[in-house]
Amino acid sequence: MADSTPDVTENPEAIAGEDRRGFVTRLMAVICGGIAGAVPFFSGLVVILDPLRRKGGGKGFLRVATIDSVPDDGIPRMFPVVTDRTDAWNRYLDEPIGTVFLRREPGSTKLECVNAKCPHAGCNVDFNIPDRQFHCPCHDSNFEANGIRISPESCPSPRDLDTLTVDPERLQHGEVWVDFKNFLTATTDKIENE
Amino acid sequence: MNSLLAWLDDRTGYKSLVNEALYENIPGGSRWRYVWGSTLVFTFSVQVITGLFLWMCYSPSSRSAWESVYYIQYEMQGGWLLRGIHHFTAQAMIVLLALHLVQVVIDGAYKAPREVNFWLGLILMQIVLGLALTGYLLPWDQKGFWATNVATNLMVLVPVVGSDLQKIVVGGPTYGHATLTRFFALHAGVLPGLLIMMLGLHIAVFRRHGIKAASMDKRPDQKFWPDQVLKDAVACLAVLAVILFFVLRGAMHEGHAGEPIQARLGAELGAPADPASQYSAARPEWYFLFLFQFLKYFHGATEVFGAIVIPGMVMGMLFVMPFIGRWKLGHGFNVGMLVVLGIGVAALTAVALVEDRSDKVYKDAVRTAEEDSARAIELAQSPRGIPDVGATSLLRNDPKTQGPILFTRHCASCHAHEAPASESEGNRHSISSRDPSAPDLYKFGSRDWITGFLDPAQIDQGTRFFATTVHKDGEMVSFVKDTLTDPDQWTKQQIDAVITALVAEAGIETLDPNNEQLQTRLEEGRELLKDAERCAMCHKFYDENDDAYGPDLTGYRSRQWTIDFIKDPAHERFYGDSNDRMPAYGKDPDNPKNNILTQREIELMVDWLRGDWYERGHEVNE
Ligand code: FES
Repeated sequence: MADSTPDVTENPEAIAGEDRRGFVTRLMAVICGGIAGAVPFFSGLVVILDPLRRKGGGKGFLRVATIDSVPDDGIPRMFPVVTDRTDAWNRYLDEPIGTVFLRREPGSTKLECVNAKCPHAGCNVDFNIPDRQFHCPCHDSNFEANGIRISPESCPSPRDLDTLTVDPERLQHGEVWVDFKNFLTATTDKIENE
Repeated sequence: MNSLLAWLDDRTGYKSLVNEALYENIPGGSRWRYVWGSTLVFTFSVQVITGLFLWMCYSPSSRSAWESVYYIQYEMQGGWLLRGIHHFTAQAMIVLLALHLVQVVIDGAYKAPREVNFWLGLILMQIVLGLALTGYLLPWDQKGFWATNVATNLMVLVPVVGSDLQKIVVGGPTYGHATLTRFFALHAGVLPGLLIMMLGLHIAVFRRHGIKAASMDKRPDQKFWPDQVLKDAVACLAVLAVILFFVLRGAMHEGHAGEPIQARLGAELGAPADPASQYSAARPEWYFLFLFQFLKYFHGATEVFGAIVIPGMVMGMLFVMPFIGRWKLGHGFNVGMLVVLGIGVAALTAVALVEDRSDKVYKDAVRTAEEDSARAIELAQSPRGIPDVGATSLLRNDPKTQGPILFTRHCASCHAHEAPASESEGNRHSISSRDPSAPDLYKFGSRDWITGFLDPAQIDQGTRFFATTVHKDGEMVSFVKDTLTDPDQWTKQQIDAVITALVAEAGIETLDPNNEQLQTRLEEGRELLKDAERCAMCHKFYDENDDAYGPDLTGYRSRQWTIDFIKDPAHERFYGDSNDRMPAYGKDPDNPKNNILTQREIELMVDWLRGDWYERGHEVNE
């Protein structure tokens, strides 16, 4: 090591020059090496962040059932929501993309619709007919038939089941069209997952 | 030879490397209690080896992941063993990690100068848990799918970037191809790479400080080779034996009839993931159960504490142990903390297990999940195999699976399907109606059903036939009760002939073509059905019959008849104006969107009602 820096040690000006040169060398080394490493890394990073600019979001009103298949007995019934679905490079025709519960009060022509996805962490809830309750099999959230949490203080779910809009006009013609959306789980507010 | 080795050493310096590796000094001599670190390295090596081989057989996409894992498990020779070892070694690794951590803390091996190594160890632990989490999803079965869903859904709780983070990890707003490609890259590339780096550092730093001598008794020092190596090797073999025990354990149980042995060996494989299904048996692997249970105690907006803040704090506490350990009572405090933590984890796990054991809904769900998975395998192994659209379609297009679901959803408010317990095809196939007002459709169209229907003592009793519909007081009932009971008009043999002819129309039970007596009966029955003075007074049977106003008996209860009936029971071919309440499920062939059920759904349900589905060993000719 010592013999690689001969006699300049004696000369203060030479030392200063060497220092400056040394600094530039180090700086350049870091920059060149940095760029060489950063280009491949960032080219990968950009690709992997691609999902951020993709919008899932609602697909507008989808036909789910006819009103005849929802008897007016106040019991929610489960229906799959079927439409075309894209999974990255594949497009699937008429695939179930989610599940909803439809319910009609006795004597009513109004339909209530909730997304079957539990707002806690996204398991599909089930309706327990004897208890007249929705039950989530994952962490035991319970909801009334209308989707309201049974005991909000002790329910893992941060909000009631997510209600979805049923198109009133088509309902008059006996058809149930639902504005199907998924919402972020675990949040107190109902925020659309897009 | 020696000169060759000397040359190699000159060029590579391998001898000093070997010396360093093998002749490390162990103060106080070799001990059994030093083997844990080595068993961890061993289990990791097993994972790398088996993982690389699995990689050669695995295909990460939502249309091929389950399929390729199924192929490994059930079709490739020894696949179940390879997969089983990988699966149970992963769990062994978690157990060994926990033991290693406990030992390091109790021995105080985290204190100066070993702090950095302790932290490296904690990072290694995170990586291993990450490997476990990502690996659970890769088979793309229901269990892994739903459990992992819960985990990624909770990522939203991470402040500020939560939902973006979730999207990046999942590869989009919902699970799909991109989720698998990402999880697989993490599982097989990024995390093992990191692990190897950290493990290298961990071992290097460990070598620098040497082993933390266990006790003060003065035994002579020993070298690592061969005494400690022998102990390590024996321990690794013991670990392997335990792993193999778990892999092979299933061979001791009795399997279900016809079930392939691979269903009980190695790791289990659930039914293919179906995001639209109602899967109620979602649970994480046992070592994450405590976290799962912990989450139940946090409600609404406090969730973030259960999912992130408190687990994060616990991790933080572990990280600062070396600093706490500097105080006088610090070490005692650390050990105490670990004990409390251990008890907490054990208690939460126990509560989770006990709760599940007493939860009837959950137990039913587990049973359903097992049935579905066995069924998916059965269909995958059928002559049709897995279609190119993927294995999810196996159960979606299976009458045995979909029939009960569709029936419950669309028919069970009026109809029951009460199978006797002895015959029921699993409990799902016996469906009771909340308010049975229409016939019980269990085995309808069978000889037993038709015989009961034409029996004056049965036709208007209970809910098996006309139940509480208007037909209960209709002409058919009075015909059965008044006319059929009159031996001058109908002999027993004639009634039996009609039954035989109807059974033949339904085609659910086959009539022996070589049984002459039966064939004569059949002909006789057909004549009676066409007789304008008898059945044909009200019913059409093949011949044109303008007077007929009761349901057409041509092909009565056959597949096509039933499909058409469900589509439009008020059609003049069936009940016409006297149809009582039954909706038309598929009246509009031109606009399928206007129908309650699709053609496919009706077919699935009818095939199920007729018991017409693929069963292993009963290959049907299609
Ligand atoms: S996902 Fe429903 S309670 Fe947790």
